[in-house]
Amino acid sequence: MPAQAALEPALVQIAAGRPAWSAAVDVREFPDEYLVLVDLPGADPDSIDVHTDGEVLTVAATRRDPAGDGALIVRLERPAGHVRRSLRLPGLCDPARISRSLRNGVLEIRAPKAAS
Amino acid sequence: MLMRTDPFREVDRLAQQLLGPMSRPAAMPMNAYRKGHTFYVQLDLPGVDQDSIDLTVEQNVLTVRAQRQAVETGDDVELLLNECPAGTFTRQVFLGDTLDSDQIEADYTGGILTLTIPVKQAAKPRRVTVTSGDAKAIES
Repeated sequence: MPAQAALEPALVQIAAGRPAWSAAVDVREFPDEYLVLVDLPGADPDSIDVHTDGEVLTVAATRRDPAGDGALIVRLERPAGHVRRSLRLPGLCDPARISRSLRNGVLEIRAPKAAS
Repeated sequence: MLMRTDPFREVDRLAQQLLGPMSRPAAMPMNAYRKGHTFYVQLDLPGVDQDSIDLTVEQNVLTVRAQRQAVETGDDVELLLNECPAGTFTRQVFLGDTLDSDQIEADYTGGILTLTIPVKQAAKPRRVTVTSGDAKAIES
């Protein structure tokens, strides 16, 4: 039954109490910059958004379930959907000089400190 | 219903029972699904060096081991937040008899380890032709 097949993954997700996606974050303060690492395995690179006003750094991303239609789900532990983390940095950074890179599912953000 | 077709029986089931059904596994959350004649297993492994991923199959037990290096710090570096797990991650999965563990393929892209395991030829549904031993129909 196609209707049941379409419904099943959703039911499994609810039944399994699938956790919400909460990306792990590391923040290190160097003398001249902040280094922020965000675990975003499987995130759509185009969906990753990094924003800061100089004090609060916000990272948002989305990842989809790759199983797609017609898949018989056996286990669903990996959270999917949208994630958003906001971090208050201990000092000001320069929004214009922020750089980011994505490697092996880890987003690396370098935020140079604002000149005081 | 699902268990009947579930080719995975977790070695780490005990750990899950201890932590409770709602808890998230400590590391390497896994998705597993079947699509057509192929099984897919996906494990979250962000920040791992591809060369550090060790995949072994013994009998029907698939063991994934991977290492994530902690980011080096110095005297002039202050750790403000440290949530990203580092160290060695291990997970074992029992593969059902219907899966062809000799034909596993593994790919590591975007922080996800994807294992592709074909269903054994013998386990695929197949049509059986009915033959007859009756003598040819007698025509009069």
